Amino acid sequence: MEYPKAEPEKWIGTLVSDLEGAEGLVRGLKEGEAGFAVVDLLGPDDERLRCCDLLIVSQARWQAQRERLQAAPNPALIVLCPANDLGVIDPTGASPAGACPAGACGAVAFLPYPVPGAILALHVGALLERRAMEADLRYRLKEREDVLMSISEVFFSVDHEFRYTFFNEKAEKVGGKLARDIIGHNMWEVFPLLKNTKFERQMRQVAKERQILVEEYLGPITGGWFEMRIYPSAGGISALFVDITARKKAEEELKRAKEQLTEANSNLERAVQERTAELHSANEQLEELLYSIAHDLRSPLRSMQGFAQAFVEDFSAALDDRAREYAKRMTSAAVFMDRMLGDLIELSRVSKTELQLEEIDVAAAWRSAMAQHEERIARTGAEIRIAADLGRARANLTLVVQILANLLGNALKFTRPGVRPEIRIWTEEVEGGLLGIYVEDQGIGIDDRFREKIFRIFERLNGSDYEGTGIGLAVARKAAERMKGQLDFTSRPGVGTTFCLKVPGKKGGGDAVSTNDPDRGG
Amino acid sequence: MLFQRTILIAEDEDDEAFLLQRALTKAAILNPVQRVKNGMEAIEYLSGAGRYGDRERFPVPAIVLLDLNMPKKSGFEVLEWIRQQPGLGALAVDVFSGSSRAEDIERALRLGANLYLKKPITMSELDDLLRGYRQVITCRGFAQF
Repeated sequence: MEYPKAEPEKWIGTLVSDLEGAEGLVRGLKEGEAGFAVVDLLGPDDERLRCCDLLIVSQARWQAQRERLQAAPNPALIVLCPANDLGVIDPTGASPAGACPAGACGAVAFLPYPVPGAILALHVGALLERRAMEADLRYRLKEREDVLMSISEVFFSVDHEFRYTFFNEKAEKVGGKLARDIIGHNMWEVFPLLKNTKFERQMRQVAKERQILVEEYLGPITGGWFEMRIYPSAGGISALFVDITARKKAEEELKRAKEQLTEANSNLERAVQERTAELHSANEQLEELLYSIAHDLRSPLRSMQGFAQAFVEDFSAALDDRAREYAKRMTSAAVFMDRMLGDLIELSRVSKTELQLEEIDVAAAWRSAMAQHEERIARTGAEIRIAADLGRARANLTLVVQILANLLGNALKFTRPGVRPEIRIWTEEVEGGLLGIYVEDQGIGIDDRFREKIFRIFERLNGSDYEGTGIGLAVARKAAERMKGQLDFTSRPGVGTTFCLKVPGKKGGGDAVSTNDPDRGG
Repeated sequence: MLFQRTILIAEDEDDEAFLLQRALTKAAILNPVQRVKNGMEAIEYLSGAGRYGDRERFPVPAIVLLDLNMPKKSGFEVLEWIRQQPGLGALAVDVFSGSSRAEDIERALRLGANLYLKKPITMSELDDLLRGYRQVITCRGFAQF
């Protein structure tokens, strides 16, 4: 008889039988289950045995060739027993001899012979199905085992008695033992070094409590970091050791980077503080210097003026009007310079003085400022309109009065010839919790080119046409800044200027101010 | 008839000392005037050290017109020293300074100054000031007219 070539896929579905008429037995199957090649007897060639799916043998052959047949890993097996032997057949399908013939998949049935075709077909179908399922399960188990075996992390399992049931390749490498040598042996005997260690306590703890245990630790020998996971399982305990050195390193680096950043930040902060303190101190020294220069310059100035006057007084008879006029000019120059020095001292005082911020009534501050210019207001016939609610500011009263007096003074001073001064004051709440205090005049105005210039010390845009030392706005702005405020203006030359002092504050709560505005009947 | 008591001017600037003396005369404060150029000299004068031991030439003053800002020893130091001398209890110390700083004024008065006169810038202001000052020292009974 010609056998097909030993190509496994071709042999799938092969029925091997030693029974006479076996062909007839499965004829019905042939039609239903495609691909059954029926061969009659088992020859010396065991290749077919390994590759066939279903083996039907007589009881006599089963008994004679059991060893051989059992070596076959795959087939489902049907053993046909003579009807007169049926009495000894276990209806569950287990072997009457007690030995499971299918070492591989255990799909086996014992049937009486002769057997009706339908019954046989039923068993064949069931056995093949069971065989397929078991093969699949086996495959999946194998696959899982292969994965566990080949993963690059140490993995092993022990049973409840701590005997190894699994030991993967990495474990072999690290432990220096081969799985085949230690499977079934007690791990504490295989690795006595593990006795009485924290690891042993942890293993026993998991065995007892049946709770997963996860711990990171620094390997004492390799210096690498590991994450140990001990899992309880039905058959015992498994342990997985993952090398997390790289992750730990990254974490460490991140931590170090964060620390460095924090340190850099605090260094920066310290540097800023130091620089601020230095600047502060330098500033204080400058202001002290300003004060002492201004103060010291006054002394020779007094002498110059004094001698000019003494000159006129003591030599009056010898001097003509021109000489007296010159001496008078020397005196007034000295007086003017003295005022400048006085203003410088004032500026340094504004810069230096410890500030007391308090709740102040803007209207009251304005009244004080007006009082300082009483004479001038009367002389110029200025009309001053004061809005009803000027509000309250969180500021220093002295400084606010000084600023407002300066603005009012400028408004009264820089008037257009022949124009009666009209001055308006009102307040508005502006952004940042600030109260904008507006002082508007109808004076000569300020060209935008001089926007910043006017706040500089001794800057006088109008020369000697208008009196003044030119330091007032510098002091005023400095004073505003000392109170965390701002001083600025908008202006149209020939039309007028509006100065705006912004200081922390809000509207409401102020006193009503009497006004000399005739329109308001004040 | 009151005898003329000396006024001691402690002032480091020659010009200022000169102008002050002139203004005193103009204000008819005709007491004899002695002048020292710094705080150290002021103390030496008052304690009669060295040549100042000659009290014919350097009489013990009734008034010190004291500048604050002086070399060697400041007016404050002189003032402090004077108020620690039991023998100088009757001495009037009138500060005559260019400083209008509140802290200077306060400190001088706290240390026991009798008066604090701010040096004015113009001579006419100084004349006015000294006319007033004359009233003060007249009341004190030092000046002779």
